[in-house]
Amino acid sequence: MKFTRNVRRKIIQVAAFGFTNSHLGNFAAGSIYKGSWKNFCSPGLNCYSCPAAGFACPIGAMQAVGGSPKFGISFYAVGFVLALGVIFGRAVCGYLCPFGLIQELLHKVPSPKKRIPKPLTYIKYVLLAGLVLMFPVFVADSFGYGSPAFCEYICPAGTLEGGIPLLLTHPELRMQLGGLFILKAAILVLTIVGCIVICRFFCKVMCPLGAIYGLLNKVSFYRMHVAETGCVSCGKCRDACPMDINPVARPDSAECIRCGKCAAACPEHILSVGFVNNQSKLISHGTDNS
Amino acid sequence: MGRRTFKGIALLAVAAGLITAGVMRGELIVVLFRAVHVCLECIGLG
Repeated sequence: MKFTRNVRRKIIQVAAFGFTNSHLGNFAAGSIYKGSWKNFCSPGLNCYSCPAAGFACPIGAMQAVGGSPKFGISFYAVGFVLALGVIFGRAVCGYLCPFGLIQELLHKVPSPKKRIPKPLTYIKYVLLAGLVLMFPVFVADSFGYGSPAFCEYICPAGTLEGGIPLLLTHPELRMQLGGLFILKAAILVLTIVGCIVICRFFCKVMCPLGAIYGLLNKVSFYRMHVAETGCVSCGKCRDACPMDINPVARPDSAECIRCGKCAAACPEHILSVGFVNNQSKLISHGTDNS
Repeated sequence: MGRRTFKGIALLAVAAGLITAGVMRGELIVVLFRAVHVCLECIGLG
């Protein structure tokens, strides 16, 4: 097997998945990890009610603190995501997010493949602002606690990673199933079908964490570089891009997950992805497909 | 130092400040409490 950039990326994705979800024994017991590592957030979207999860979900943490009557917006979770986003940008989605890996595997299921209409990609910003940042802070119950609205009404990762495993092992939880679970199950089915047909459907349309990291692509240290000359406009980079962007025209697009597939596809080797802010080094990095 | 690098470093400093402020005012307790209990909202029970 050739040790390409994509193979290296897959190895990192699997390692990150395992590191984030290391408590596999909890699946059989139907319990969740309760140790102090859950003080810390995982870089990617990963439900903290998943039996195997070893860390807190950053989106869940934002909503938990935002919904607390004592705090409001979460400095800790926002600062954590901001720091990671400034360093890596949306490469976190491409390399470290467990739900990103699940989506890529779903996309390998044989089916007709489609691209997503651009306007749908703005939905995730509405979800971020409305359900993650504002709803928990401004809509409170009689005790002053806000609801984690994104987790409650949308998040298919929670349904898949936390809901299904816990419901399978807890009959008392199954007794409580109602309309909310039907809604979330329907969103999960939509997401699964969407991911089979459209690469990273959830990332493109719904992920509030990807929305934050994507906005930071414009300033992140890990970045894409396009050489000033040499592009022959063959369009191979655009065709190879799983996020449906033109990397030559928009190297800092909020949709780019820095997977490097465009760099590997470029016959002129003008695209590259990396930390180094030196054009010659970047070009040699980008041409390293072996 | 390029403009982009400067912006990145400034934002990293802001992020460090936010994390410190969050830890100092006790947000970790809320995060930990939430993360070590089954989140009924997350799993679709509300």
